Amino acid sequence: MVYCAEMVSYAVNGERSQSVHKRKRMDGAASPSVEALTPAQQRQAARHRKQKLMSKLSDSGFEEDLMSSPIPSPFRTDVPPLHPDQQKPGQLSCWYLQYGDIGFKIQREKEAQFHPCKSLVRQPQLTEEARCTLVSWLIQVHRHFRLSFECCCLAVNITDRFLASTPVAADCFQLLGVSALLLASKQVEMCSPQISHLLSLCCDAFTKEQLCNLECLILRRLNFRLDAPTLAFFLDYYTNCIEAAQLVPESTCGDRFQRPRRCSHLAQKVCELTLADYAFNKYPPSLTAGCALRIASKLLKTEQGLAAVQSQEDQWDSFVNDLCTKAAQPPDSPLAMKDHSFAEDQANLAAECKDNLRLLVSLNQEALAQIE
Amino acid sequence: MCDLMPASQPAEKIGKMKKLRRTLSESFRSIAFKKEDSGFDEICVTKMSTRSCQGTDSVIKPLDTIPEDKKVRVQRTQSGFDPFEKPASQVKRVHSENNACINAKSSSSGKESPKLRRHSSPSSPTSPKFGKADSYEKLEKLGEGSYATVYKGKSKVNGKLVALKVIRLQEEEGTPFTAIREASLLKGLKHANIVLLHDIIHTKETLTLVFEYVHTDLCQYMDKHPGGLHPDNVKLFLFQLLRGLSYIHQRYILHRDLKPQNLLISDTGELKLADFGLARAKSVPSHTYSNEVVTLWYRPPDVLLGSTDYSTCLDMWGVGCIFIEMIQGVAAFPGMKDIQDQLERIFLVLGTPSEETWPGVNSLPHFKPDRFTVYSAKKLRQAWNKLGYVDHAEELASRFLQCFPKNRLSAQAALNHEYFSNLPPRLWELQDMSSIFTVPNVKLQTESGDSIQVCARRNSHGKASSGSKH
Repeated sequence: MVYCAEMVSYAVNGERSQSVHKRKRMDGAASPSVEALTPAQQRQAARHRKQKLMSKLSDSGFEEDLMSSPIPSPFRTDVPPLHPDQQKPGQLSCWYLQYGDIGFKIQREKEAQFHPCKSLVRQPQLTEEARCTLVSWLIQVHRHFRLSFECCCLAVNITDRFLASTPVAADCFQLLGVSALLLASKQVEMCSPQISHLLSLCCDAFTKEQLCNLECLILRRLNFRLDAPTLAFFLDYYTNCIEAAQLVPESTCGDRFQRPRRCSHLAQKVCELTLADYAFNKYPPSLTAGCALRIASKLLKTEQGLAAVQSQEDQWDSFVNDLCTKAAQPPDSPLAMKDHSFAEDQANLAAECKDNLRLLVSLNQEALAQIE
Repeated sequence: MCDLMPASQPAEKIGKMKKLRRTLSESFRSIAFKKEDSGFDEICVTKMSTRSCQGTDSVIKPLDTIPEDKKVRVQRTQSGFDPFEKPASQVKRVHSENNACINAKSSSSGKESPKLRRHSSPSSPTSPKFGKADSYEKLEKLGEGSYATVYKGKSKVNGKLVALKVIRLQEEEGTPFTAIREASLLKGLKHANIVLLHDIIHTKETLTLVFEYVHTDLCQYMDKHPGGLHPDNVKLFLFQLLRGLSYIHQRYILHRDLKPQNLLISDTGELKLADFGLARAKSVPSHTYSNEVVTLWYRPPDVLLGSTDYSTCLDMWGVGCIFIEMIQGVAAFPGMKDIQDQLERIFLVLGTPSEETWPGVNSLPHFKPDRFTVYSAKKLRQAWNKLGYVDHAEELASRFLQCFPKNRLSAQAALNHEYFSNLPPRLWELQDMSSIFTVPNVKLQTESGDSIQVCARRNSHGKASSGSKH
């Protein structure tokens, strides 16, 4: 039984701040049974599972209408699991073209309201390690259900913001994780995993009623504010920026757009790593996303080495660099603009974030290589 | 590939990392996807050891420390969720069987002894109200939807009328996603042309969204004034619609369900976007959106043809349809049967698309050139004659009604179209929350029963210059 006396003792554990890079995603380690299969088998298995697990689309009608025709269903259930957000190369989104910069500005301004930088400070039972374990697991689960990266980021954000408001017992932590994932998927996905399937992934340790109750509680604690700007948004925005700014025409049109996409994909993997590492909670998502792109660009550059023309590479590099700076700049709030030292702090924060990312990446080379 | 390892990286840190990884995977292996062969004897979550309940300092237990009784299914007796802040004097106490996982209670005093906040009795589950349901008086029913019932209501605090959208929570899958989206999106939207969400009342059985009361909607308004609306009013309505849309599109939100029923009209002529149940915060392009989002009549051809690459262009097609409906008095493309019929109606006016007029159309899932009669594009006023009576109306409508999504005008750009050039300049400088009717000389015209004559007289020069059809 958990007494409330312990709930109040959150002040005791202030000394958790040691080193940054203790966390590691256990990519591949979590599901040994799946590992034995070939990638193709895995995909197939995942697809099969998905068809069983996803609840049927409620707002169809389209399907019925064309049922008689020989045309295949338009639903993109067959996208490869790791590329849910992939766009056709060479196409900037309408959204970016029409509202890109102002949209970015608004999300930047919103960012601070949704940024739970110290979610664990007042938690009596939960540690950074526990959070890492949970988030790593959530990453696996979101992939299992083929939810978007956006959804994954949002689930982690919801979890953190709830933790910042309410002490959670260690044995309810996993329940919090799945509830947050369920809420995130309801907010941004076209269909959510079924509750019973989420519960079965928790080995049925919790009941449906418990999950539904917690869902309500989260909504109330967060005051129904689930529209948080995420790493996924900023990553996507920056990628669009880079694609739009491809100044140097390359001989092969395909490659021209492939590179930013590849880079953005790798950056997404790096961002995934940061989700699980509590040390990165203090950086706003816009900053982390920018730095991740920078790192990813570096990694790809090293990998491709002489394959690409050096001057182009440098140009691209400096562009990503600018983005990072852009991300580090404060939004146009009057207070921040005047304060010179604030800008300096931001620059330092960006540098620190980049260093930490570099370390995190080096610690997780295996996992990243596996994904690539 | 990754050779970014800084030279200064201490070796022991890496060792620690590896170790941690091992521990993690050990403790987590059971949680992942191995359910089939595992049964119940797995550790799902680390049990709070009973000992830790006595000492206050020893409560921090990482999830990956596997307790002694590791092969026994965790018996959670009770655990607590206590809010840090104590906002209201309401109690939520939920017990599930004899296994209470979530107990939340806000006590009126934050300083009371912690022990008082402990729940030990699993009996007598209560289902108290969370919000302030009592502060609204429910009046007549306004309508019923698939997941909610809307009532007219009255605030007991200030006597103002409200609309109460009551959502049932007995759903199989928890809180309906439509309710979550509508509440979470509207919470962040404060604009004169977006319906205002006053309050959310959350009880165990229902979720009630309290909106400002707006007395009619564009559908009813057009029914009441058949034969096309007053051209000046059409302009004001369209301006407000674009203002609202531009605001949400900037925030990466699509409405996705634009239709006259969802555009509320106040008695002063204020237009407000409502019903955000299908809307969503859009963050990643090329996300798989559901195909069915817009009522068939207002659905763009790209969606009808199976495209899932939705963007702001999706809503802009609906704007074009609504614009024409307001001017002409009849729906632009009132498809009677199915998607095929709907598409035929569109192509009849705009011309059947080809790879030249619409790059990429051939690769859309439902586009087969032989399925559609080949029509050539016509002037819009051949289909809707009243477009010719108002300066620039036809041109603006044609900018919305583009089959190729990327050719459609954005809401923001449309606000600067010549069609609006005779409106007072101050309309473009308004704050988000200011209504356009705060600008002097902007007011709704009385709808005449026969608006055709009125506008024909007024715009006789426009009519003459644009030439006649039919």
